[in-house]
Amino acid sequence: MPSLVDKPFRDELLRLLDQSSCLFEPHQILVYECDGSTAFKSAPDAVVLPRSTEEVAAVVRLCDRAGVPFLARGAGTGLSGGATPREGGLVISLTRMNRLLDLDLENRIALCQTGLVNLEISRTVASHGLYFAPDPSSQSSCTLGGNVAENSGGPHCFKYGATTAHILGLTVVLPSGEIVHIGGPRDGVGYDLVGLFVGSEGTFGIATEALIRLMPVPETAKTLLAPFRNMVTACEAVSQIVASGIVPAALEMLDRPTIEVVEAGVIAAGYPRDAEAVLLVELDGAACGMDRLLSEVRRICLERGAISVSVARDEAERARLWLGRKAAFGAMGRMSTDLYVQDGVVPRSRLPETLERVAAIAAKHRIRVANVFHAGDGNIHPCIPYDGRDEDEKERVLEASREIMELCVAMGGSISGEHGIGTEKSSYMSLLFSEDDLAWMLSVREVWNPKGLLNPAKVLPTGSSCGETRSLPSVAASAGAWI
Amino acid sequence: MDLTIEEASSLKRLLGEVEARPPGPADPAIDGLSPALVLEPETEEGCSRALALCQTEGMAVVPLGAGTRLEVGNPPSRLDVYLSTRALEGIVEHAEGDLTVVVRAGTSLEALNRELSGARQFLPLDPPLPGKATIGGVLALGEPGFRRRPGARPRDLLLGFEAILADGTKVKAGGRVVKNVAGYELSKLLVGSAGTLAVVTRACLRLRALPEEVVTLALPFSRLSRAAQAVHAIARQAVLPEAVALLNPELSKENGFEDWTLLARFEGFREETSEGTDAARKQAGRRGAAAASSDVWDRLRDFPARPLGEVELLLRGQATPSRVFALAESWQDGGPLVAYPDSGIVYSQTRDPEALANRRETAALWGANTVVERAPSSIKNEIDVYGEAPGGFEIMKRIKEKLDPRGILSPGRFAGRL
Repeated sequence: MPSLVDKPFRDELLRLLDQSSCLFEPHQILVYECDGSTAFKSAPDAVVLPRSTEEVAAVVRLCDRAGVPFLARGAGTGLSGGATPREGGLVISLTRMNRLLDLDLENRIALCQTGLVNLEISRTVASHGLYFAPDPSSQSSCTLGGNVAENSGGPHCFKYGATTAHILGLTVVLPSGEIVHIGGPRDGVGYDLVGLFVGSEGTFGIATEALIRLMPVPETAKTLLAPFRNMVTACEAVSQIVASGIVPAALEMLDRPTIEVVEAGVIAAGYPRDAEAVLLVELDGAACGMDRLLSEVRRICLERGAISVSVARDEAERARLWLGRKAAFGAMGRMSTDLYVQDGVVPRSRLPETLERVAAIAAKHRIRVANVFHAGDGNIHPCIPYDGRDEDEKERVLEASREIMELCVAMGGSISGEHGIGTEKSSYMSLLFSEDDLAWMLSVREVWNPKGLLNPAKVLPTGSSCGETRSLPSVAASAGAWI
Repeated sequence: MDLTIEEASSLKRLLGEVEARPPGPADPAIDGLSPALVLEPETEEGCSRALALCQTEGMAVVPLGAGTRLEVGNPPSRLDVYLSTRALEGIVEHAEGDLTVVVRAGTSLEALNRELSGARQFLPLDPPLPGKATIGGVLALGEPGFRRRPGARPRDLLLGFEAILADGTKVKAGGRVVKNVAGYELSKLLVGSAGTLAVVTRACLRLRALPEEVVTLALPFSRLSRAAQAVHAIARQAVLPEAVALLNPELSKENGFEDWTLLARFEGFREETSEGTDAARKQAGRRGAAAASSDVWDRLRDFPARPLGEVELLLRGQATPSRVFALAESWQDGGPLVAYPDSGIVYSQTRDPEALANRRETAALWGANTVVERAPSSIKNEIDVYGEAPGGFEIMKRIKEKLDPRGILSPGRFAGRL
């Protein structure tokens, strides 16, 4: 594809930004050719690293004038190709916009530039007993802007809600280059533009600053480990815990293949290797009610056939239990050269049936599946190890993946719980939505992004996507990536 | 639009099964305006036909639930038809194990919660007059009740919905699962859009298990500043209250309390409510703290809907949580007032319509906005009841123009007279 970024355009960029903020050489932009989903490789023609909202706006105005497609990028940890350009053009990296601009302790809010790393926010405000609740597994590297774009979740969003519950206001550079401020520290009037923007996967505008809600760190947190001989009863325990009125901070499940691979590695968490399923339950809140909640969860798990129920005795043990869960994805690198991580949602009560049918789909296509998932939310992550050099196996993985998506929809669920649609799943959107639904979504996008220059060909099917579905959306197994 | 009976009958033929009638005494007027026609479809298809016809004919439509909060909003610039969702009633599916429910828009909150209580579940929304207020109306208004923390607002609880657009197209967004990022967040766009973008016909909502115990503590304070300190301290407890409300002396008196009264509602397991109330008691002033009946929350819930007199103002102040006390103080005289410190909201009623300009000005000094929820039409016709021009108003305007190009859905009713 010929470069969309010609000499006059580059010269313009260099007039707007200093030389160190503009990357034009192929070796400089190689790292921007994909995000966490390494199968979608498509390099931009240039990358810029602005330092302020005004610089972003100036660059966007230039793109708008020149008709050059562009998109924003944070740390590039996404798993659906949201930060990978599909048609070349310009990547606007926000990683240099990484300051916490204002901390308002009285109202428990903070104004941050969106290139700030998620975990850095909590580290900065920890001394005040506060933290930023969204905790995607990539939180040590992913940025606030990426969280806003994807409406990121994480294990603890079961109790505290995904990113959308924690964003109060945004400064947005529209695709025209205009800067708008939406939302704010108090209730306002008019349409909920902040709610609409969060989760728009970088197709409505570029958020450069976010006003975020901070939460008080809970007085105490306890993690229980409950191994089961049977995945079905483990899932039933999850439903029963939730129905009892207990709201755990997290309810996470790992199946036998995942347990095996975690325990074989350096991050062995002490999960029993003879279990068919391991349930991790985290309870947080006031210390006073904790004994009652712990004994209630223990009773339910044992009643549903748990082999044992143990509570992490100290912070080190608790951290070890969580490390096994959070690093499970990386550990799967042992299983094969390539790994495809699916992301689907089903109603919680239909998890047992769903997992059985996922296993049947895997058997039919002669592939392996390891499951590690957010059981409380019904958010499954079937992980399929495969050899990318084996065309036949790739084809079978692709077919199985589509069948798993169809299964989630048939169960009354959805095709993505937290990774987003991006490039990966735009062709699956019609499994869930009618042409009228999609046309409605498109008309809302056109209000924000009328020329379609911002992050083109994402989220909604393009109509010419038959070929696209054949490219295997694989995800590289790196320890930092999320599921 | 002025319809003769014959014209109305001819419309009825076009609408097929859709019930079409002239408005009756039970149909409320909006600022003195009544429509020529009330359409009351019994199915989503009927709703779609009704809207398609209205768009073709250029008739201005106000979607109508129970009409309990029709007073909120600017007077419509045109009004031809009420599209009633009352016949779209009932639970479609209650997924007990998933704590979700799919319900038709015309179902009342009370009817829904009555059904859910059999499974010891409930929808934690507290709109005024829940015996009448419909799900569709509550979502269109988007205002939480006394539960105002994230997680219990309409925007947090709506998982997915089906709606009819201005041209009669049936659409849906979101889904029936509690975690979902497939497609744009159109549920956030529709919640609080006051019937200006689409008519929601069914909604999937997230539920909660009924708490083991609900305990309310009342703390009287002679000085507002002392009540503010108590709120601040309670917000730092290990067990947080589900709701906190501050009543001015006039509203306190009506409810059998004295001076400023801080109410803290704790919900959950007994151990939690007991720890929460024990800690909150320590913040009491000279006169201590007393357990109060939960009925007081029902009265606070209904506060925005209660009529005070023939000429009156009902204001909703929007401040930051840190400024909510200053706003409450500056509005405290001249009528009952309740403040929700968690969200910075102050509701104030007064019989003196002349007080409006002054109250708006003092609110602005505290960085707060004033929404006029109820006022005589003579006042409403002169102002934008929503107060400030919202940030991103041009985008809002373009959204409205794109989704309702002929401007038939509640024209002029919304912020900025959209």
